[in-house]
Amino acid sequence: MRLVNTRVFRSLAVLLIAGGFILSEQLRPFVPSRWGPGGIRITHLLNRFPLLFHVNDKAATGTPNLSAGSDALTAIKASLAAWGNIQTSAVRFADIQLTSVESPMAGDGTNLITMADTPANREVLGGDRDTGTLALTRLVFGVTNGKISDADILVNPRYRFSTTLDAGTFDLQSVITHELGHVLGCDHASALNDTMFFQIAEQSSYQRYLSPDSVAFVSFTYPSVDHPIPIGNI
Amino acid sequence: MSRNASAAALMLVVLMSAGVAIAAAVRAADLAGLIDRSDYVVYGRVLWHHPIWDQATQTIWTITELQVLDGPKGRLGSVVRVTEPGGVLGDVGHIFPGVPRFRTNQEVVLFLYQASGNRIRVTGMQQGVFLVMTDGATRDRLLQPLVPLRETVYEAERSHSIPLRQRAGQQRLDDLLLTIRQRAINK
Repeated sequence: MRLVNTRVFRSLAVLLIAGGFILSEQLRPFVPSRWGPGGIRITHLLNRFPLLFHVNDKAATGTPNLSAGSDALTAIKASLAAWGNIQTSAVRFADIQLTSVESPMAGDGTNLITMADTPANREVLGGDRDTGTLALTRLVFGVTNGKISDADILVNPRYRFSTTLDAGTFDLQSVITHELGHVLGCDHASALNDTMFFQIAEQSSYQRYLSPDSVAFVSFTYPSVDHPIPIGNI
Repeated sequence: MSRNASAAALMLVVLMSAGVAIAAAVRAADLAGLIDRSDYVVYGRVLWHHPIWDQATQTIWTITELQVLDGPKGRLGSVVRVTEPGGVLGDVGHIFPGVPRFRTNQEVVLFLYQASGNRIRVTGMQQGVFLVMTDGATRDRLLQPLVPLRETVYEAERSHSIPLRQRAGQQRLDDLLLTIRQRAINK
């Protein structure tokens, strides 16, 4: 009997390991950002919330690559709200503050969103070439614990954006919402309809909204103490 | 084809045909687009990489040197140095999600462009990287795109994952290099 149980146990263990491998390889609902051989998660400490973002003031007055009639600040606030209003997550954002800082400084602990056209921003984003890179997020983190100390979003001044889905523009709110997923430690998803899918079409706005996988990411990575995720077995 | 699969295929066509970009948002690039937008294409082996601090951008960059095994587009020497933002200096790391990173001895095909600051960078971020692997049975050199552009297909009794783009699902390295050469010459 014990032999049978051992065999059953071994078989189950093999199945579980194989199943886990298949799931991790093919059915990843969301992809956490990881670092190093041990694959430590790159995340924020919960006491960093509410997270404060400074927004370069050129976004308020309008940059040359932003369509007339577009409201960048309202779009940025909406993006922050998308991630910050999940009841089952502890992620919260403070009201944005405007700043004259145009390019991120390393290790200053200031989280910056900038659309400013500066040599430094252009260099990181690929210069004048049509690289296709609309925006990048830089995370500064400790390699021993994976904790993020600074997160900055650079929007590429080479491409045209709008908040009104104008022809020939990319939707700023969709791009910022996607980048905020990176800010929280979420990597690219492989599903076409995911907030964290790594591509966006002109005039496309579906990435303004969090996909169920993105909601799961913030809920499991930064669980709310007051509203834990109700989980049942099915 | 199921309704879901049809919708996914239609969406892919829309993404490929419209102006599409990467966030670490990028423009979707088919193989022809990658070739045309790149100054160089190299097949190489990663020799080493090391981080540097760049005061101007306040960012850690990582220089990766590759031994050039073949260069189907553009003229480079026997080695090429690719520089991308991100890396680790001391106990501080800078990471840019979507920007490719490399391991020593890794064999890759890279689509590259001449960037500002005299840097050579990867076109389309992770889209411009194909890992080269050897088929254990045939010894063929096969390619695997770095971008995890896959969807799960559910069938009656099992599910499996397929690459949405066939540009390099299990494409042979020699075939890809030939395609690149021909297009580079014709352009």
